[in-house]
Parts: sequence; C-alpha cells; structure tokens
Amino acid sequence: MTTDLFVVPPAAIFIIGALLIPLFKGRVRQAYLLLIPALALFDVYYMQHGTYWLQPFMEYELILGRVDLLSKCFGYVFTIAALAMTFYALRVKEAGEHVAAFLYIGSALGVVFAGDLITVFVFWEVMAWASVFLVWYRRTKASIDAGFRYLLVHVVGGVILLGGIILYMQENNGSIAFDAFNYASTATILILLGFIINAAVPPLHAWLPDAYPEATITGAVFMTAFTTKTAVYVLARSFAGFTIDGFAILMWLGAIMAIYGVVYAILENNIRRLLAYHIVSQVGYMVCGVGIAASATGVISQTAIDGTVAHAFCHILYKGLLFMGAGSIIYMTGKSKLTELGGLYKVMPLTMIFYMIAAFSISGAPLFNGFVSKSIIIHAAEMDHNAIIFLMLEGAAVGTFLSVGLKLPYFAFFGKDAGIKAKDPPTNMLVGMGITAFLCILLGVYPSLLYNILPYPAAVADYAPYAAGHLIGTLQLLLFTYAGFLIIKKKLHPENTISLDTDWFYRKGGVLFVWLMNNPLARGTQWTIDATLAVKNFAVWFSRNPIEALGIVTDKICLVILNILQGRSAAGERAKATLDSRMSAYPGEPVRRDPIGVSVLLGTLFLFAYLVIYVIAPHLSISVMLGLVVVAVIAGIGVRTRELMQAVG
Amino acid sequence: MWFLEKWLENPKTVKKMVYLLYVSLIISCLLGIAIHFAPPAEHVEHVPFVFEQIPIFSAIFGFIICILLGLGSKAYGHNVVMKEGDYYDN
Repeated sequence: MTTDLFVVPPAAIFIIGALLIPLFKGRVRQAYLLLIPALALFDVYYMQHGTYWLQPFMEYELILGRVDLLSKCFGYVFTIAALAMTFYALRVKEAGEHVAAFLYIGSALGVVFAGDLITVFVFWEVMAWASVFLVWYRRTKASIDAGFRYLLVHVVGGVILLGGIILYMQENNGSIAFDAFNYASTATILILLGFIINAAVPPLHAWLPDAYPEATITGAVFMTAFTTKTAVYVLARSFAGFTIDGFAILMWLGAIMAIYGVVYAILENNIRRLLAYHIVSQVGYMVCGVGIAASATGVISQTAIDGTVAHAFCHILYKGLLFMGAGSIIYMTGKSKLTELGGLYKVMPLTMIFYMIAAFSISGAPLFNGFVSKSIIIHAAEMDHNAIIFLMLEGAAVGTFLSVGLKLPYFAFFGKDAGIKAKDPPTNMLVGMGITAFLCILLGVYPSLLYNILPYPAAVADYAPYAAGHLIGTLQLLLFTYAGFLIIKKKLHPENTISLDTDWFYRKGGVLFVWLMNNPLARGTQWTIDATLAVKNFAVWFSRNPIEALGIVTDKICLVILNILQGRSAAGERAKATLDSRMSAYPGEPVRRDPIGVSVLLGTLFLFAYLVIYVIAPHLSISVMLGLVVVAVIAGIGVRTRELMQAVG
Repeated sequence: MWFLEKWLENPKTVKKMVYLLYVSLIISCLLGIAIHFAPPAEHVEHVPFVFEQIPIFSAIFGFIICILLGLGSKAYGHNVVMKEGDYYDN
C-alpha cells in the first residue's frame, strides 16, 4: 500500500496547520486556509481501512487512526464541511479565530479516528476549549458570559467522561478499548452522560441554544457541525447496543429531544437561536436512531445506524448552510431578531435562495438531502414496529418545516417589509453557501452517493426513498403543514421575548449562590471575627487590673438589676456616676498597697477555703459544685446590689 | 432582483399562488387515494401500522400536528417560559 506513506492523521493536518496560520497574511493566508481542509479531504479519501498510528503512552497504547466505514463517513463530511465553511470564513481578519476553528475541527477529527478512550478524552477536551474561543471572539458581554457558561458545562461533561473512563478501566483490567459498551454499569452510564451532554440531549442541552447564537458569524457555522456530530459518532460507535435492563433509553430520549427542540423553536425570536433549537431537534433523530439500533437486532439495527450516520452527514451540510444564511443576515443588516426583520428577499435574494434550499433540506422535502436521510431513521422505526416513535419523529418533521421552512423565511425574507438597506454578502460567503447548497441538492437527487459510504451499505441497498407511497406521503405532510401555517400565521407572530430553558437552573442558581456567599455566609464570617476580637479586647482590658475590673463588671450587673427593681432612682444615678468615674480612672493603680497583715489574712482565708473544698468536693457531683458556684455568684451580686441601694441613705 | 419583487408584490400573483396551493393539496390527496386503492406493481412497501391504512393519513396528521404544535407551543410559552429580553440582567 504505497498510499500509506502519504497519509497522516487528518487531525494532525488541521492542528499543525492551525499553528502556522499566523505566519501568513492577506491572499496567501486565504489560499493556505483553503489548502488545509482540501488536503485533509484527500487524506481521508486515501486512508485504507485498518488501525494506524499507534502511540505508546505510559503503559497504554493509543490508537490515533481507526479507519473503517463509520469513521471514514464522518471523516468525509467533516472535511467537506470544513472546506465549505472555510470559504465562508475567508474574510475573517483575526488569525486567532481561524486558529481556534482549525484546532476545533482537528480535534473533532481526532475523536472520529480515535481507537481508544484516552485519545477520545484528550481530543474531547481540546474541542471544548478551542470552540469556546469562537464564541469569545464576538467580543460582546453577552458572548463572553455565554462562553463561560458553555465552558463550564463542557468541563463538567469532560470530568464525568473521565470518571466513566477510569471506572471502565478498573472494571475491564485496564482496557482502554473504545468499542461497543453493551452493558449498563456506573462506568458506562457516566461515559454515556459525558457523551450526551455534547449531543445536547435535554435536560443537558441548554448550553447549545445559549452559546451558539452568541458566537461570531463564522464561528457559529463551524460549531453547528462538529460538537454534536462527534457526540453522535461516539454514540453510534459505542452505544448502538446499549440498553438499561432492556429499555432502549436513547430511543426515547432522542424522540423527546426531536419534539422539544421544535417546541422551543416556535417560541424563538432570535434567528440563530431558533436554528440552534433545530440542532437539538435534528440531533434528536440521530440519538433516536442509535436507540432504535439498540432496541432491535440484525438488519433493522443496521438500518437505524445507517440512518443515523446518513442524517448526521446531511445535517452538517444543511445546518451549516442555515447558519451561513442567518449569519449573512446578521452580518449584512446587524439585526438578529425576527421582530426587526422582514422583506429581505428584495435586497438579499441569493441569501434567500440558499437559505430556502437548506430549509427544504432540513424539512425533508423531496429532492433535498434531508429527505433521503431522515426517512431512513423513520423507516427503521417502522421496521421495528414502533408506532409511537414513528409518530413522534413525523410530528417533529412537521414542526421543523413549520419553523425553519415557513415561519423564519416568512418573517425574515417576506412578510412586512422592515425597509432594511442591505445587500447579499461578499462573494466568498456566497461561494461557501453555494458549495453547501449544491451538495444538499446533489445528495437529495443521487442518494446512492451517500448510501454507498454508509457503515452498512447492504442494509440500505434496497431502500428507495423515492418510492411512490413515501414520496406522496411526504408531499401531503409538507403541503398540509403549509396550509395549517397559513391558518394560524397570526398566532405564530414572533414576539420580542426570551424563553426560559434548563439553563435557568444554573443561571439563576449561580446568582443565588453568589448571594448566599455575599450575604449570610459573609456576614456569618464577619460576626465570628467581630466576636473573637471582642473577647480578645475584653481579655486585654480585664488583665490590666483584674481586681478593679471584676469590681466594675460586678457593679455593672448590679446596676442593671437595681434599675430593673427600682426603675430610675437617685441611688441608681449616684451609683452610675461612681461607676463612670471608676471606669474612666481604669486601670488606675493596679497594685494594691495594703499592710502585710491583709495579705496574710487573705492567704489564710484562701487556704481555709481550699481545705473546705478539698474535704467536701469528693462527696459532691459536678453539677452540685456548679450549682454552689452559681449560688455564690448570685449571693455576691445580691449583697452588692443591696449595698448600692442602701448607699443612697 | 426587481423582477421578483414586481412579481411577488402583485396581488394577482399572490392570489394565483394561493390557488396553486389549493390545487396541490387536492392533487396530493388524489394521488394518495389512487396509490392506496391501486398500488403500482413495483410498490412493495409494507404497511406495519393500522393508522397507515387511512388513505390520506399523512395529510390529516400533518395538518393536525401543525395546528397543535403551533398553538400548543405558544400556549406553553405564554404561560410558562416566555419572559422579557432582560430577564437575566435583573
């Protein structure tokens, strides 16, 4: 195999290529940027099936190149999408943004060709850190905040994944093999959780519609393709036989996800957030496909995986194109809300045409690529005799056409003219959109191009998306959705609001956490400090002249008692005046100058008291002794109070 | 693209398009009924679900789900999750 000599890990092309970007400027940089994905595409094309680039690491062997039909299919679409998206992003001046995008693409390819869990984890983390810069380069407060939330979620996801991998290694004698996990244990469930955070499965999905609309115009386009689709890849690779006690959890999560995204998209006003919710919905089909594969066996299972991979392939193209269209609108008009847009078809006709190609693709209209890929997953549900899943997926298709195919174009491109002065975006952006639009139609018209590179070509060999019954059924579904839209159009009018999602819990939770830190906890800390200082100050004051201090403290207590017993009285006033003068004179003369006899007397008394205690104490319990002390103190205070009362006379 | 604008802004065109929609709705249903009662020879698709034996199931399903999703989502939004744009800033 002579070609082996020339083939390198496609991840390496992007990652090393990324680091050299800042060396070039102007036209040279643009040519260089296009060269990298083109090289990677040829590289993937020439890769032979097998296992390559084994790398020893501690006592493990990392596999950087596991090439088979599944990984190659994702390799193709990742590099093709990278090429088209790079065209779109060609005019971005910031070298750092290109570096981040290429590191991100490279690490996504790294995950796809990884043959072991450690490699998966490392590239998984690089992906999260590289992509967050695509959000931050927008340089607005909203994008910086959203970027931090994005990062927090992905770092938590990464830690969960790492925990799962370590437990898995313990369970399997240190095996780091990245293959099918067909049993449920703490380890595999943690790995699954790590994966489905990146697949944006509700309720762990909120990072996606939170961050993507805040990313840069071109950054968001890259982000639509890689994070969720690498998650779909790892799910298809390792969870296609995973059930929890026979319950195919991914099938149900995926179907719920498909509907969930659609519902939120109907409420959305921001065009890119609307489309982001449709990523959640469309990835739902793929997650559901993996779940159907797990619930079935044999050819049904293979069909479901084929459908998942085919849909991921098509989704990357049309979703990239949708974001390119929406990005062009924002780039050229500076507006991103449906309530501020309208009538754009007059000034941005090419953008409108490209957008509509993508919209028909995502809606699964015949002759567009979504039609030939989405239907395989629905077909697998049919073969599996699962009526509820079938209806949920068909229902989500209706909702997709309603929002992406009808509502968004109606209110942005047609509808009431907002009188916006704009024009179609620069040529390079149109070329990027053109390539992607061409591929959307090409695969819709010649589905066999796609079907031949799927993981199980035999399973879909007989599948005919353009069979009369399916074709007519789809047309009915879409046409009657259109009719329904016209009837409820007024009710669907966009509103300038935001919709709360599960990120509410950590966004409001975060505010609550900070409040708890700043208020009760900080005050509690301050109180402890104050109390400790007060005790210290008292001890210092007391030690200056203990006898006098004891007298003052006693008198203070007595005075309080006196005031309670008598109210304000002349005796009280006088006693207070005396006490004040004593306090201002404090510490006064700490050493008492008494005749020696007094000392001897005190010493004798002390020894006598000691003797009495020594004799009596062993016969008393601790509580009785404490009681005696309390009685003595009370008696002392009583005597002194009486003294003060009589002092008036 | 002034010609597109001129064409689309003409009320007659809009009327024609609405008629076109009605016609395509009817044709799609007729085709569905035709294929249901007289399936073509190469038509080997199996029908696993009971509801698929209704001749124009997709049309009815699409229409009902469209209305339900549209109105249901808006009702959910208005009653539960929709807030002012500065909700998180306060």
